[in-house]
Amino acid sequence: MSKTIRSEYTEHAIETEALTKCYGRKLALRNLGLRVTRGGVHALVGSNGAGKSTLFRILLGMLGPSHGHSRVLGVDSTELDPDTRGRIGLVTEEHTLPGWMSVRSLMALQRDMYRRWCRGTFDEVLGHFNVLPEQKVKQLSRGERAGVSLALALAQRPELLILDEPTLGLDVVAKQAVLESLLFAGERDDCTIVYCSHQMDEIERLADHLMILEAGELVCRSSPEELWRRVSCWTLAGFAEAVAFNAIPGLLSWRTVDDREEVVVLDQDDSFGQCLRGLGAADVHRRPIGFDRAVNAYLSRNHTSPSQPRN
Amino acid sequence: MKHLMAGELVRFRNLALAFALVHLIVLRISVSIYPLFEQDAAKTSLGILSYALLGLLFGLYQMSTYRRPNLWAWLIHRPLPMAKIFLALSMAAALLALAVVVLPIFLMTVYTDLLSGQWVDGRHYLMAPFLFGLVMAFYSLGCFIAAGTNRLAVLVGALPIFFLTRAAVGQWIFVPLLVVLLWLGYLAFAAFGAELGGPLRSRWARLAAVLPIGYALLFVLSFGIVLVRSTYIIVKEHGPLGFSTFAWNDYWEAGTLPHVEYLGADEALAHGLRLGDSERSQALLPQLALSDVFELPGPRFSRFPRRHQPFFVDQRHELIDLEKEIRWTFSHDQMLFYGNGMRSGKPVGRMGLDGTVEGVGGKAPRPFHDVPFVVANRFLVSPRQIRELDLDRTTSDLRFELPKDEVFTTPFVEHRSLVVAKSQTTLYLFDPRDLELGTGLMQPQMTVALPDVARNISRILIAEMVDSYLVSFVVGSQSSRGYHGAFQRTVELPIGGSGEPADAGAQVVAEAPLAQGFPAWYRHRKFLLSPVLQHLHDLVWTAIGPHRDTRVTWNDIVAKPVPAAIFVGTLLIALLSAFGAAWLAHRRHLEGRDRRFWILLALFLGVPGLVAFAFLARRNERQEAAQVESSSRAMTLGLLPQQESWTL
Repeated sequence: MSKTIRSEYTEHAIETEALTKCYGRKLALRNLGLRVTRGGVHALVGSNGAGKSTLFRILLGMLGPSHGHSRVLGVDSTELDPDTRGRIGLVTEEHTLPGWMSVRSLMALQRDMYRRWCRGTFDEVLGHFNVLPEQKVKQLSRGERAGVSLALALAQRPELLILDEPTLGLDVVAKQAVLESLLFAGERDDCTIVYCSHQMDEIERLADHLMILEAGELVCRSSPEELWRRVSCWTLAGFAEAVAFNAIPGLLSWRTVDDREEVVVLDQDDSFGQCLRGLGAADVHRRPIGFDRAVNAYLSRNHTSPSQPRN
Repeated sequence: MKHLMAGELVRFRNLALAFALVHLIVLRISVSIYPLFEQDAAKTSLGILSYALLGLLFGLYQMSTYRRPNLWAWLIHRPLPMAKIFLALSMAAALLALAVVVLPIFLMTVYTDLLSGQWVDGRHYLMAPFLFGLVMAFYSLGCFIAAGTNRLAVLVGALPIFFLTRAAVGQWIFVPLLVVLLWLGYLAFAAFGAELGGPLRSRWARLAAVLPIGYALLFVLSFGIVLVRSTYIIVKEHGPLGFSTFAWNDYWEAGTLPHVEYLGADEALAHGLRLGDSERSQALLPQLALSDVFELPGPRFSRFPRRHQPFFVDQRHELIDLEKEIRWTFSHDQMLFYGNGMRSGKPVGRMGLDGTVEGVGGKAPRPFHDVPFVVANRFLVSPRQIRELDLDRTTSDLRFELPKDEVFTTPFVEHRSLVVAKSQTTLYLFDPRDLELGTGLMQPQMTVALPDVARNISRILIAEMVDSYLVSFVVGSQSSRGYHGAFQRTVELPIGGSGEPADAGAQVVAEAPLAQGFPAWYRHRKFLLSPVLQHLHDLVWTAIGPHRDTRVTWNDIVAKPVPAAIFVGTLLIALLSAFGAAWLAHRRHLEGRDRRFWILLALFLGVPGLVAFAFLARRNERQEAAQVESSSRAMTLGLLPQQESWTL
């Protein structure tokens, strides 16, 4: 990928190529090749330490990659120019804003910098959170700060909006307000939203695309529906004999619930029941599975602990 | 940008207001106790250090608060160039410094000038802008330290300390200050990148950081050597618990320079006589036991006040007339003393060169040619003249004048039967009766030429014998730094040689070189560590250093005797530093220009360059990532069962 700071319209809002970042001997990102197409909400999921925040910091030019390249809105992220920065919105998990400023002065600060600033959006989003313009940031609750942070980001009408766990630590009402604001913005503006969260219900509700990052590598890329459709859950009373772990095709997770074994598998149809029975399983049933359980099973597939399932 | 700046101003407005008020109150109290601009050098230095510390702490605090990654993202992720963001923060800091530092000082200067009755020179008005520049320079240093991740960055602080000791005159004080301000401002800006704590990308910025760091390291390493060697000697001689009982004056071998420097005055003079093998020197020894020996004490007037010199005035030029309760303060603008009532503070007149007070006797006061300083509230000393002031008679008589090309390094020092003065080349001895009883120009009773440049003379010991004076010079104060030699010369001056030219009648009775007492490698340790930095230091110090007596000259540097073994050692150490840098560069996977930059720097700057490299240079992450990845893959393939692809 050739380096250029010239902004050009590209099909992808974010592109990375062989992106690697290491902190000493620890690899935070490993040969990451990522392409986020323009438009829609792209959810980025991964367990703690998977490299999500590192990826965001590299994309925003706040951290240099050890190897590889990344481009945001067609511009190399190590050379982001002010114009491109102005087209990228950012909401961080802590909603860290300068506590000494009032909401009004924050708004004035941002308004004069962004050409596409929309006062209506700002007021509308802020309206969800009952925040007064004269209030100081340090006087706001976490949820209110999240609202201000989101209002500032959305009012810029960015082409790309990066949200790093924006609902972390928020109560139900504040979370609902954040999601509504996002849906509102997503529908109205042609904005690409990259949404990172551990809340699967939010992702299920918002995301058009799903990316799962694990140990610095992209391990899954699909739509939430597709993932949910391809993951199935089976319960059984037990096996007649010990079964090798890798004898179960597509196994994602295995656990015991109420004296019954529950296996979650990937890409298995109804014939999988026969397969289990063939391995000596008794009383095999397929059970419905929720989206959050499907993603969790996917994320924990390498952590399925017993080497020999119990009988 | 203006909103960002305004945000910073809002952030610190309460603190700044409180600080400005406290500052103003402190200044007002100071003025009421003592004239603000007539503080001595120590108090001025302390004040200046406080302002520097204020700037440093503010820079550290302001930048440190943005070090949290999310707040940093908030600060820099906006459609503004990094330069403008940095400028917004710096401009806010500058405005705050104006409010907190400059405004109170300026107000107090104007108040003193217009309302207090005290005389205020034009140079005093320079204090406010000077302190503003100083605060901003140290603010930049604080920003540089806080924006980087390497704690060694604090050593860049060696740079302003080095330059600010300069006693520049008038508006020239702004030249070194501006150099420092631009240097540190550039470093702070270079460190202020989107990648917080990232390496300095520009080679110029790296060089600008490494030079002062290397310079500071030279002194740190040199001090480390002194510490290790001293500890080794004490532990070797007295054991590990000998630190409290070890006496250095017993340690030095007799006949060495440190040994003579540690001896008492009479013992040191006797040592000088014993060095001679003439009959006269041996004959004088018994007399010496009955004589009164005194040592010409400091202070060394190595730096006369210069006209329009705003700070660091070593000597007071203030006279106190206790009887009439008048404080006379010297004005550089008028070159006259200005009198103020000590109680009322009201002006009482001006006093000129000949002691004439304005309005007394109808004569106008004559301005001084040079800025004088006051000794013992009685003598006015200028570089070539000593005048005696009689405040009752309002007269000032010229008592002694040096020949052209000579400058006082010690004005009148009285000791029982002798009054002594010293120029940079000659020692003058006077009859004290001339000083006490006469009023006219005094003629020296005896003179003797100094055996070496004044700055290399460690001690001058004088004893009155039966029919002569003995003067012993211990020479070699700069020899421990490798400059000039070390020896002791004892001269006999027959009494009654008044009016004779220098050295007339003076006879050298004993002279012998003094051994150094320190091994050559120890004396030349800075040269061994880094000849480039040591000479750079000597050169700059020669140009702008504060103490004329202690600094070396260009001729000294050229003529500096360096043993051949030291030269070879220096070359070897420089090469070893370069090899060390090459090895480190290999270990850190540095490539191309980066590698060459550090190797060359270690070669030229020696050990400090290598140490700076070890602390400052980062590993090449690109190479490191490849290595980590390959080892990680090898582990996966070799030790762990191969996993199937889970990618959908």
